[in-house]
Amino acid sequence: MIELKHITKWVNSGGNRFFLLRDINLTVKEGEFISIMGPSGSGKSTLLNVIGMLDEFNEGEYNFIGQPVHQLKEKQRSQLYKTHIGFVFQAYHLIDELTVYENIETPLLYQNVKASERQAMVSDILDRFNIVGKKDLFPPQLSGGQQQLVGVARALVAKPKLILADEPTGNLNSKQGEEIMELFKQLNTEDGVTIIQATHSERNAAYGSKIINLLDGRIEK
Amino acid sequence: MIKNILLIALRNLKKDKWYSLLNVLGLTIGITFSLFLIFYVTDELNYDRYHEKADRIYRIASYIQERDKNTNWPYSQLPLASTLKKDFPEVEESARLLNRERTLFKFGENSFYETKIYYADSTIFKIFTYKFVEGNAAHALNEPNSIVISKTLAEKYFGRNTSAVGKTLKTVYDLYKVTGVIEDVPQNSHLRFDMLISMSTILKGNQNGQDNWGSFNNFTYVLLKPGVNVDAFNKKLIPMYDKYMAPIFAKFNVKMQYKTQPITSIHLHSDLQGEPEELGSMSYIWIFSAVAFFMMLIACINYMNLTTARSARRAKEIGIRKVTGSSKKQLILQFLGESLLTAFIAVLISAVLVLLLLPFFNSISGKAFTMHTLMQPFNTLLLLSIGLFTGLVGGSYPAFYLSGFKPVSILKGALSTASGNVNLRRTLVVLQFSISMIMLICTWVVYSQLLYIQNIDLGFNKEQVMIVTVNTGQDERRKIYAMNNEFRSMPGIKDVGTGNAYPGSGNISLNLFTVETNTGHTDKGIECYQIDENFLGTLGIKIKEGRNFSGLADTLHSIVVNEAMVKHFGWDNALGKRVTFPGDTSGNYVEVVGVMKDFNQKSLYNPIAPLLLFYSANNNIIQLKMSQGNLKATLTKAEEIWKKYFPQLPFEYKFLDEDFNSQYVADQKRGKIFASFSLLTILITCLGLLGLTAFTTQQKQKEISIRRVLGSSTMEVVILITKNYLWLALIAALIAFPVAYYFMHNWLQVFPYNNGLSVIPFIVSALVIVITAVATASYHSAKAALTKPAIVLKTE
Repeated sequence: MIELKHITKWVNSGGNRFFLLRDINLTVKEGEFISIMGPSGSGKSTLLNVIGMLDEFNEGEYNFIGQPVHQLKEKQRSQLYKTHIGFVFQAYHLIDELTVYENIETPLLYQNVKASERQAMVSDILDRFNIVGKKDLFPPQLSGGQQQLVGVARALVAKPKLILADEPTGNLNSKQGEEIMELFKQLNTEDGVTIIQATHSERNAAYGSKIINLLDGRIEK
Repeated sequence: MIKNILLIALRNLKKDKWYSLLNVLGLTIGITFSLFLIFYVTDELNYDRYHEKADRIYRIASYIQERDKNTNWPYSQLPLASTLKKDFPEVEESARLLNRERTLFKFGENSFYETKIYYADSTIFKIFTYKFVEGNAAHALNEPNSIVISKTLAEKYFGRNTSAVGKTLKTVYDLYKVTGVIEDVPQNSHLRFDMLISMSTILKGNQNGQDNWGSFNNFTYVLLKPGVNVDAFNKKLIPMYDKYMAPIFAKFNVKMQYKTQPITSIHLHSDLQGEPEELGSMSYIWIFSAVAFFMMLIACINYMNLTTARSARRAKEIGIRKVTGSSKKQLILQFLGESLLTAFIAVLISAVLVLLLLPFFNSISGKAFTMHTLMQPFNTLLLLSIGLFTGLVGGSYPAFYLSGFKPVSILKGALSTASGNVNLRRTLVVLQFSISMIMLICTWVVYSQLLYIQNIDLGFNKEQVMIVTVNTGQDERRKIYAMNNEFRSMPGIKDVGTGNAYPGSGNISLNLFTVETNTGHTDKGIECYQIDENFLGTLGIKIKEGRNFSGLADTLHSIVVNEAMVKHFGWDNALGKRVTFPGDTSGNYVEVVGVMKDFNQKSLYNPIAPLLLFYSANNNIIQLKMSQGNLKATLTKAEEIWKKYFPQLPFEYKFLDEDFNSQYVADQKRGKIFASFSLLTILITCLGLLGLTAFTTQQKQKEISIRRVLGSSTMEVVILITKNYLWLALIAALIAFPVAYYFMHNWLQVFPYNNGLSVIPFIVSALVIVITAVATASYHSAKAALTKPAIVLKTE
């Protein structure tokens, strides 16, 4: 599903070149649950952003479900990630001005899903995550765990093939964190959703089927 | 999608109430008052355009050249109209209007003085479009003593809902039959009247006037046939001088030429003396249009600045929307949608405000807008386009700027300081500051000039002088003599003088005289009127040389002249100089017996011209010098005395100071409009500044907190932030000063009496802006500096 070949990314600063990613080669098959580990600044988030097509890379090839991402135009790329990838963030990144229901609905709006269908899909996921009672609340009225739950629901609502999660439990206490990880596990095994998560925690990493260690932008073998 | 955009726009408006209030308030003020200015300007531009044939109607003006003077008048001679129609095939129709003096009209118990009266040819309605409510335009003014009156006048005399046609109005000597009632002449006409009397009324016993090419008293209008070349027509008018006027004028060396004026251009472009109504001024049209535009622009700039400055708050939302699949176009639409929503909320409030503030605007502008005149499709369209304009202009920059954010960098938090547009924001602020400063300086200069000319020493004392006019059309000298004696003995009256004009009264005549000079004689048109021996004393006009008139003995041979006259003719010794009437071979002459100090006979727009005063006792315009004190008692007593002599006339009076100052009404009105609007502009700028400093200091909160942790004092932080705004204000001053200087220097040239440009308005205006800027900036930065650093840094 994902094929990264010799991906390298750098930034120039004051005449020096700093490498954020160096010669990354990675293949992810459909249905995998991968945990990326590494210390701060090792390039975890950058790698996730590259995979999510939110960030560009300087060298290398990237194929996503058979599409050569490195050759696509901005518009095609966003079309691609919009339909196939869901994002989950450490800081939840919900829109504070929208209710839970509307937050979850947003990706569907941008994919031009019909109103009736949208309603069905959002209700479905609210039901599944057990947050129907909270649908008219605004994010600041929720606890961190609940907010992240909404975040995951939003990432899932459009039925993506891949979920990218950047420190999804970083802002949560251990119990809340565990619940989210259990949810990921369940999604992966029951629904076959491919998941790539970046994390600091060994325990969370253990939920994945495969662990990749990053250090200074390189994959450690 | 649209529902989603509107929803979030509304929630954003509601969420940040203070911010929304600033935005909507700024836009509302900008739009409301720009609307007023637009109404004003369009009204001025549409003068006389309501006539169906407006583009073919011309007034014939007379350009008269004397040896040392040009007189350009809107007036022409009585025979002109019929001659034009007879001699020139280009002329489809012609008509005359001749002003009639103030007259008392009666119907039963109702009696009123009417001032806006013209004698008119019956053809007038074939040229102009006046809507008849009653009567028939085709023959309304055919018969002598027929009158056509305005609807207002009809209601005043005859009451509402009664037919006026066929009723009779009485003057002291005559009867007039109402033959038509027309809708009131619109406010935006270069000539307005309440009553038209058939021209045959005045000409029936006066056949001489019909072919007198020597006196210029009436207006002549022509309706040219479609497609006539006006320049060619003007050229064809030139030979009329030789044919009709040369026999009269050539011997006095007077030449003249007719020129056509399109009636639609009279209000704004005529430069003739003696226009029937107050003129507008093209320069004010430009100024007001500019002010309207700048107000709207400043309001838009506020919106742009506030929205982009606040972008940090929206950044997260933008990032998320992009990550969840929004395209740049959709985001631009969203932000434009928000600014359009804000703009249309402002437009709606403005529309209501305009209606509420209409009486106020009418009173300062002298316009008579009503809800009815404003409710037009054009204005609805105007409102819509203003909403679109402000929404798009104000929203475009934020929309493009915000939608260009890269989601990764926002979500990483790199954009929380949103500093990319700092320079643009600074430029916009400098622009606002400059505009405000220019307007402040201009307002100040205009006001101090208007104040200056009202308090300048005019050479006569205009305070405490009441003017009463006896206007019966008959010789009332005996009665005036007796009445004035009673006035004199009355308490509260110090002095009583009479004349047939007075300083500031427009109606003085310009006569041609042959004047003795040091070297011989010269002909010149000189302004003159008649006074009695008490006139100069009553008005406090000083005699410099020789003597004042002493009484009836001065009637035939004595004149008093002003210093300007002495100077004009270069007289070494003015006393005894003789003046004769050109063409008079009887040997009559008048001789200078006194020279008075110069005084301003006309407004301060005019330099003092030579003036020649004759003696005449018991003239019909009476000046009463009152002592300080009980004005009401004096007025009551004066009225009692008046009623004894003129029981049929109401007692009407004016105060000289008010009357004289009324010459500046037009400029005062425009000055007031300008002042109110520049204050509003400054207010909008302040609103914007308030919001902007609040948001930028908020963005600098982190920097401020770190500095505080490192040991900086509150004061140092305040100075650091405030310094920026100080610079901006100084740059603005550098731009504003030359611009304001240029405009004000030119404006002051109109006044022969001006107190020049002082530096004070410049410095103070700059200070006002600097202080406002510094005050708001330091308030917010102090607030930021006083926040506990730990709280800020923790949340970063």
